[in-house]
Amino acid sequence: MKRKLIKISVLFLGLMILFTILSRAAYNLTVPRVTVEKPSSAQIGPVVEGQGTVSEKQDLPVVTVEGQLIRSVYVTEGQAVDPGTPLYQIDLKKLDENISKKQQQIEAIDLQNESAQSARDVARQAKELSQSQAKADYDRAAADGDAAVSQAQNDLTQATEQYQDYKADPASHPDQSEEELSKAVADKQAAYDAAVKSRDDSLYNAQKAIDSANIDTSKDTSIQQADLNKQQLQKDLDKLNALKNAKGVVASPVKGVVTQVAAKTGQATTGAGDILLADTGAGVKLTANFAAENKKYLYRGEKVAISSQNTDPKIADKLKDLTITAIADSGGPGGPMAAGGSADAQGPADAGNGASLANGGASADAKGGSGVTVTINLPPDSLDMGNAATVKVKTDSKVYDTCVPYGALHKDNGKEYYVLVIENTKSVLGKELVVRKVNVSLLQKSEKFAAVDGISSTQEVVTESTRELSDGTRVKRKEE
Amino acid sequence: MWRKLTMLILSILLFLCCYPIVFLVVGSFMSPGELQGHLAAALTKDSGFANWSLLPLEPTLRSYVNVLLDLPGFFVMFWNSVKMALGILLGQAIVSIPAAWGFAKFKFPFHRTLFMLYIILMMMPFQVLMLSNYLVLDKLQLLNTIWSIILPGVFSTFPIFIMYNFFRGIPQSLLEAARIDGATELQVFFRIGIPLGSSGIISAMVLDFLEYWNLIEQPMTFLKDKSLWPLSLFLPGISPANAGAAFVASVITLIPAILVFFAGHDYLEQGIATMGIKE
Repeated sequence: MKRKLIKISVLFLGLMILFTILSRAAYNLTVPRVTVEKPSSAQIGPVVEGQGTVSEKQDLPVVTVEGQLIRSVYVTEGQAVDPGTPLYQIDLKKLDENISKKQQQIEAIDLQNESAQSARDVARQAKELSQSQAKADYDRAAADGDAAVSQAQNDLTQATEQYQDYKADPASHPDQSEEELSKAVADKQAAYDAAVKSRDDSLYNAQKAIDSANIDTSKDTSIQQADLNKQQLQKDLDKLNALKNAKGVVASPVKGVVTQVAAKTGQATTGAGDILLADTGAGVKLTANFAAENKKYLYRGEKVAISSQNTDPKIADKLKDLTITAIADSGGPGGPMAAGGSADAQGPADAGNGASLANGGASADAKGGSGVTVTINLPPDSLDMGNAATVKVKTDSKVYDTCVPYGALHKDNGKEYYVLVIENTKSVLGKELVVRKVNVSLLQKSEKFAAVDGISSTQEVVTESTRELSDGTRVKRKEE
Repeated sequence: MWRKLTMLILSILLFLCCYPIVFLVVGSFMSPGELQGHLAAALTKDSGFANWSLLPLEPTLRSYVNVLLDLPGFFVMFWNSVKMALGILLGQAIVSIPAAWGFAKFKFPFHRTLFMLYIILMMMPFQVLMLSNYLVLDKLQLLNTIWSIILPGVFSTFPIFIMYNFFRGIPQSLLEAARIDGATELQVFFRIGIPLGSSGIISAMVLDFLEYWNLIEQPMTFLKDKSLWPLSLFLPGISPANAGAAFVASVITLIPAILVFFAGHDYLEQGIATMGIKE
């Protein structure tokens, strides 16, 4: 019995030793290993970075005469084209019909003009005739009136002389009395007055007729209007003829990239941009988005450095020192450009013409809104359209005493920043390291460091860990 | 009839005495969920009464695995208990046995007064001696060390009292005969006293082991570092989350005590019988 008990006791102690070793081995396997660093001083500037896409500086709409039937479209979006590359073709049969229509319209206008001109001539002649007739009537009325007045004048003079003679010598007119002579004078005076009045009335009426004949007719501009219409039709006809000479093919006027294809086979041309080209000859720009909190670092003329993946070192040198050309609010009302967009479409370029207007980027200063969009003109032969790139703004830096590696900084549910520090604690297993969560306030950050306030320079901050850590987790240093 | 009735009453009493052990062992094989269901009312602020079942509904070794493999602190405390108990027993063997022999066999001046003092000290609870012990240990700069537990235990008066009675039972004539034969006092002590008093010595050792294996108050008072705590302080606070570990720790803590008891219960019985016959 005693031997049995001794054996059991020895076995029990042996098992306890074994489990002691196993439990310690298991514990060591599960304890996270951490790398720690003490805060140090560093020079940190704010990291202001934005992401963007390279796009063309200018867009060119390719248009042709409205209403033509598209027979074939030869390009797709994203395709590179050279000057003269066929973009789409117009149906020639329909083109001929349209040409013939235009010609007929022009002829109709000519005929209309002819009729209008003839009517105008007739009206002019009629007016001239009425004018001459009115004049003749006036002259006749004047002559007749004068003759009547002259006769009445003579009669009056004669009667007056007779009366005066009687008055001087009543025996000169023995067969007439004074009353009769006086009455005769009065009658002749009345006749004279009547003749004058009649003459005046006749002249007044004749003058009225002349004035009526001299009134101008209303101005007729129908011929001029028709001429203007004809000019436009002629221009359209010229365009159609040019299109016909090109066998209906609309070619690219510039070297570029097709950004939008509105033209579809079987549809009519719109007269606006059936195809939109990015004019690569005019250069490219980078449009990048920045967070709203970085607005204070962005202004026109600010120096920036641009980087893109897999960029040749020579090209990378060209992109190190560029400037911001435009800043706009992204997301606000009237905010113009989204990153990568090519929203500044310019004046139309007709096929075979190639002229287009230049315009810079948006010019509104960044105000409110959810972010900021900046535009940077890129040097030639740097980045291609569609490339993604990162824009870094060069900012001033300052020395901070308490800086931790950026990877050691964590955010608590998106609200407060914190770091994990280790501290010695006494436990059943002796002195151990445990992790403590310390809330800090972020003063400044860069790609590598974060300047914080809230920890001392003697505390060791966890920078790496083999497992996820929380407050109170037991840890060991990685070198142990 | 009376015999059967007596057996029945004794069986009931036996069951009641053994039930805590059964409770412990059964609980160590229960799953955490089952334990929570039974003990939530007792361990948390839930209303109602705690209940128990004689057999686990979901027997599992999860708690054993948790304690034996996932809690290295348990073994630190186990070995601390072993160090304390063995240290105290060894110290007592060196100090208490000669002291008991001296009290039993030598009539030195004031030996009765001194022995009375020993008995009074033996009867005083720890709470009475705690402050004076603390001050002395502090002066000796032994606080927060394992010696603050071992040294007071080594110089405990209880084993002296037990062994004194056994040594008194050794006939004086035997010792005289040995002296006449030329044995020195040391030879008498080592060759006659200890062998004849071995039952008393082992009884005292067994009782002391059971006492010091379950020490709580002294470690809590004199030891600040948890790395020095014994097994009795493994789980000072039991909650539904650690109830399984508490049960397993208790079972494992019980095993050495049971082994020591079974190894020494013969001597205990023998010693009690001897004392009874003598008196």
